[in-house]
Amino acid sequence: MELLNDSFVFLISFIRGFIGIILIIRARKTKLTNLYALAITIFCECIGYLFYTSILNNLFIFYTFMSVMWFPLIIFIDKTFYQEKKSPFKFFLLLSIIFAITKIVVVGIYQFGPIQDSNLLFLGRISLSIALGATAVWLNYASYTSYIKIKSDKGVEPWIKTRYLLVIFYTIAQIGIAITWPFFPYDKSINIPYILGALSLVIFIFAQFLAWVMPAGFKKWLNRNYTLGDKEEELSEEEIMKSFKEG
Amino acid sequence: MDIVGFFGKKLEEKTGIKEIACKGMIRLAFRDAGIDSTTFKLEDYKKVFSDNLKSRFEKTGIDNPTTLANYMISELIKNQGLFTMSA
Repeated sequence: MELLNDSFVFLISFIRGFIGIILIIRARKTKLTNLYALAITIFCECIGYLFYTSILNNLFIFYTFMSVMWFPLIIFIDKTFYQEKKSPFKFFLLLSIIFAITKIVVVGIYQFGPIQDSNLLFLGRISLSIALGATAVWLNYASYTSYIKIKSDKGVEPWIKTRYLLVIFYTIAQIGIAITWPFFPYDKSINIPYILGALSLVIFIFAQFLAWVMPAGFKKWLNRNYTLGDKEEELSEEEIMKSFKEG
Repeated sequence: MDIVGFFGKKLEEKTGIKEIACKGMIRLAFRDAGIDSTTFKLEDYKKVFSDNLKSRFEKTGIDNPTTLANYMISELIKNQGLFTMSA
């Protein structure tokens, strides 16, 4: 069973690492610094997962990476959707700090302390789930409210609208992971929450891959019925100014 | 994605002036500012809309140039997610 778990974790880490690299390349190209923040979140998760395998098995390092990852994620959400707007950033920052400290402390006590009480681990899991769920809800809300504004705009290409929908979709899967995570078996065996959580994780990663990597063939397919219109001629400066003067 | 085109459409909806002229006006404002109009930066757009586009509006004698520039900035803030989503 451990082999199955390890293979699964290595596979998802590899895919997530690939998504992170694509985001770094895109951030460099577009100079969008918020994409670096998203890439750092993904790399933290990717490295953290590796410590959930039987090979590198270390819950303390796993939870440390899972605690650090929220900070760049909330920066990403804030910089993407809330510049010069009222933002709940400070609330989420406070929430992330509280739950990061909780996770690290309780899992540290569990791993290095004299008593390995599973209640401590459960508290660590609950902290992780709350941070994960809350941030997913925020990203879901921010994406959804932005999507509503452009969904019937013919000037916005279908692949961009689909990217919004995929982000909305994968944050729902993320909420599924958050709900099931506290009930995963401690011995890495398989139970119903584990199956549901793993399924949510697969959906989450697949949708995140499509959203941020957006393979060329997929993008082309999404835009199959979209026409940019004939190449319109540009007006001269005089013509433009005249149009505005005449109203 | 043609982000200038997106905001040109918004300007057309607000002024009733042909889209091609609205897009052209935004491109002229970018040219005046010396900023590449294919930028994905919100702050560049904001600067262009608040300074250069407003100044262009004033030159044409169009009614309420400040209100119009502010409208464009509010549309920019509302739709800022597009910069990342179209990258």
